Amino acid sequence: MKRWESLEDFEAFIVDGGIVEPSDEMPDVYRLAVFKFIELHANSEYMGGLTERDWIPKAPGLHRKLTALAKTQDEIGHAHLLYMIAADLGVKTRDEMMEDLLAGTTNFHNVFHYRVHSWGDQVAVAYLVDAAALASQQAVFKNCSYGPYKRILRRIIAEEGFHMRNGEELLLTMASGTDIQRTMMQDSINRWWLPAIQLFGPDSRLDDPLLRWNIKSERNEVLRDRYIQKFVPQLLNAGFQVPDSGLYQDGETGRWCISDIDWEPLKATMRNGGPDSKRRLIDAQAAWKDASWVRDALDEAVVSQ
Amino acid sequence: MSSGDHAAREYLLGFADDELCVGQNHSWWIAVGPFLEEDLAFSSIAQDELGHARMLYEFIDPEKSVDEIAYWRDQRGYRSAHIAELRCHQWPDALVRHVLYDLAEEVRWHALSGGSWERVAAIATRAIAEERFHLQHSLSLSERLLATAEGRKRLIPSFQRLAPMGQELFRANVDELRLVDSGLLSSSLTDQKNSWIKKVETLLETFNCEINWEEFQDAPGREGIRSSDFESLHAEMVEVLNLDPNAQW
Repeated sequence: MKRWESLEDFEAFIVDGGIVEPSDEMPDVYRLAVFKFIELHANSEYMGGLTERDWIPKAPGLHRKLTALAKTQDEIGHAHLLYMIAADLGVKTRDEMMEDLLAGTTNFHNVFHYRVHSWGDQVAVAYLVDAAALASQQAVFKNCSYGPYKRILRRIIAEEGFHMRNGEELLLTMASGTDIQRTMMQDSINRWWLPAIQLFGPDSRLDDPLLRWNIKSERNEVLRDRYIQKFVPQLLNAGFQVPDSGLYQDGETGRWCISDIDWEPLKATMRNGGPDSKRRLIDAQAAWKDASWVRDALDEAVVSQ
Repeated sequence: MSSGDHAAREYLLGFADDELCVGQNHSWWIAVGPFLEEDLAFSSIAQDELGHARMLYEFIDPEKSVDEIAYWRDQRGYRSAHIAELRCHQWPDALVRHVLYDLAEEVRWHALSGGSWERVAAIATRAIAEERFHLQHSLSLSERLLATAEGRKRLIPSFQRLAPMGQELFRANVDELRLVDSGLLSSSLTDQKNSWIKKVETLLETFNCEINWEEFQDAPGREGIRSSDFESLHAEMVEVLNLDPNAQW
């Protein structure tokens, strides 16, 4: 078990690349910050599963159905692992985290406040959103100072890599498909491009403690720009348009520049005021409540054994 | 398969369609189960059942694409048992169907693995390895719940309603003697059904749950008559495919 005399000593340990384990006497501010970060990640994986759920039964063909199921199972599996390591931090139990999420008092990522309207949207989530989430997770993994989170991220990133390749394959199938498919896909790109970009968040604060404590390793704006440089040409090469009237390529550097982002809608979304936040939470609450007897009965069965 | 194997084809098609419908129905439960471990179990089992359907379809008609057989038949062309088609959007029904169906699968796959059709027996052996986990999951969970008053209150009505229906899983629209004589099955459907009933009764007898097996209305699923739930189930399967039947998705 490690312990530190002061926050300065702790931060010096982190700067040296130190790894914190659950049994260490970590400063409370760090414990809470790591906990909140993992809770947000866990909530988002779970809500991601709910977002994609609507279209699993409708997935076109047996192969697509099996891959959609496997992918969503991975997301729920990630939520499961993350809730467990978050609970180990001793701030909240798993049930408390679930109940706070469903009561709307905690958050999940902006992209899961939107509804999947079509199979094209399902593909856009797999292609645009999963890639953005993966880029964020890779950046967290790089220098992550909290041991259990780093170890679980290794597995999550490996699985998300498969999802991203699946997303690319799905997009290319739509791109080389019929007029109906290409139109559907362009509509979906129009709906999901901005939410995917916004997933990285506004520019990081100069004094962001998450960066200082190696919970995050790269600034939001750096990640966002890297994503834009990769995905704008990919979409254009696949024959789609990027839904941004202000988009241009800098003649000298060759870099793609997008319009300024209005962050107010994102802030409202993160307060559960997004386009599909309410329905999402009401559905999840209803499912959770309907099944409360199962959880209670199993608790009772454990006690009586 | 040659056309002379009409009886075997019909029988295996019924089994494959059962798997297709149950897999499709299980997939509805992802992310809305009682807790995350259940979401994971149902989605994993759904994948296994759909995988079994795929193996059987590939065997039945290797010339056609699996999707063509699985999704593009006229409704009268399906051979599924009605219990497999039930939506079961209430969790007690979903769990109870899972128990009954997997107990039946254990018996049904063993009858195929013990038969003399090598390729079918190989498919069955592979399925049996997966079914072990399905049974472990469904039995341990239902036994723990049935041990509580609330669990009995919720689950017993579902068992009493669905178990008689489960007998249809052991029906065929062909002469069952031919299935045994041709070596496809190592035990008759009647013997399989009796063995399944015994397993269900063994599970339930500790919990004072009696099943009226006579309640079974002779369901005609194997003859091509669909239950009222099938239409919405099938509509969901083909909704995207129907947008552009010529497209590759």
